[in-house]
Amino acid sequence: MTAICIANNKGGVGKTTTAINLAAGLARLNYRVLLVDVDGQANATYALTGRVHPRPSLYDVLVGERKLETLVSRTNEDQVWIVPGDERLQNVDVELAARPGREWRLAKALHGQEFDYIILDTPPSLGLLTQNALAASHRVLIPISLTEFSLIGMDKLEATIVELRDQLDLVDLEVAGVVATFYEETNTARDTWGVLEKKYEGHMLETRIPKNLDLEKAHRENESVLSFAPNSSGGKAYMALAREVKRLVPAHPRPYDRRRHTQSA
Amino acid sequence: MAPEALARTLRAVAAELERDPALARRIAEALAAPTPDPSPTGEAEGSAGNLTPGPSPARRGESAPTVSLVPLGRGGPSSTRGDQGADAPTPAPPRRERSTRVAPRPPLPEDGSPLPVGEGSEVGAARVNRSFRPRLITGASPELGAGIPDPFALYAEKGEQGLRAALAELRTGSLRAIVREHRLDPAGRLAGNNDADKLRAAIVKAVLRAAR
Repeated sequence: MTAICIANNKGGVGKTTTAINLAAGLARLNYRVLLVDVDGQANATYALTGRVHPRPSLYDVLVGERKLETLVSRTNEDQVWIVPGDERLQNVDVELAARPGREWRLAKALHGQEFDYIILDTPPSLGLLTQNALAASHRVLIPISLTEFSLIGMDKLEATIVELRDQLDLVDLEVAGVVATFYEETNTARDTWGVLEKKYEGHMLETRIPKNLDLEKAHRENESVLSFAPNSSGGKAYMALAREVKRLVPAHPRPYDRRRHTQSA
Repeated sequence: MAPEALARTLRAVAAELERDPALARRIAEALAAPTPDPSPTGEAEGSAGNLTPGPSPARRGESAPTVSLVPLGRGGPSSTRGDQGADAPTPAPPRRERSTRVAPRPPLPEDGSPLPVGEGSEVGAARVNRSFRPRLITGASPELGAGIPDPFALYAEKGEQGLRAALAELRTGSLRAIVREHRLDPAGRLAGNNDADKLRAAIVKAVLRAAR
């Protein structure tokens, strides 16, 4: 089992869209995928189940005593399961602030899950929710829209990953790659791509996700673009991304175990 | 009305006027229009003596309406609270009645042609300034529970109408998941079909067939 965190502290870069469609793509490659909605906006939950802020949710696991496995449910995508999120997750930073081992609660809750991949969709911040998701992950996938603004704040995300790696002894937490989203053949996009290629040499994924209306329409119909419009440019791109991620981050055959570093927490 | 509430109200009115230039223009025109002299008793103002219209903009040669806010209990040039006693001879200045009149709408063209949309057009202004109503997404009913809904259980519990009502709330993705999960399309005729109505019809048909 391999856990991949989809993270970027900037909003609107396609984190949720990437999480949903990557999960669906890996499922089409015959993997069993668990999507964990760590974002208080719970858009991934809605996009794959049609439920708006269902309860109970991941909040009850992180803040309460609920077992995560009682929340795992089917989604509209075959071979994709979900741990739903809801709006109360936005309060988690405050509610967990004084608790010991607060960064490890999600990792502990996921222990023993038998999926091939776990995909964690995170909020656009570097707060406790994202820290929980990073601590629970083996790899980080960073979606980035090719605009000038998206370059701002990338350093902060990198610093947070490095800091967490040291602080929580996450020796094997690595950036799997940076994937360009909302890609268009414009001068700005090409320039930004050039900057990122220099900065993340060897980490820029070959797959670029184009700007495509079918991605948005698929959200409205509560399914992935791979079900809604598999032959669209967005559908083809996300299928290619799933293949690339499979190659870069192979699924580990053993059940999820990320607690080995938590014994002291 | 409490001063705070009044201030909130005025701020809201000011915000609306800023947002809607056409409304502001109509009110300005209405206020600038000549009005009969006010009643000397000022009864129309009731107990809200702290809000008094200022001098008529028309008399000052201005186009914008103004109001003056006078603290409660102090009275004012036009105060009608009666707290100044009988020896308060200060005459109230001319005051206009509160008016709700607005500028008349332009007549509709007799030939039925549409009115021009844009500056100075009431119809156009109404179109431009229609209130923003975002689509409210409530999602699938919590009654359906987590996971993929079971149409057979829904039919058994709520009957055909209940099943149809439940399916009507679901989007294509959920309907497709029901079809796939319960193997309602063994021939694969609905594969790749994004028509929600066809998916709903297929589900209902399969459930009714099984129920017979």
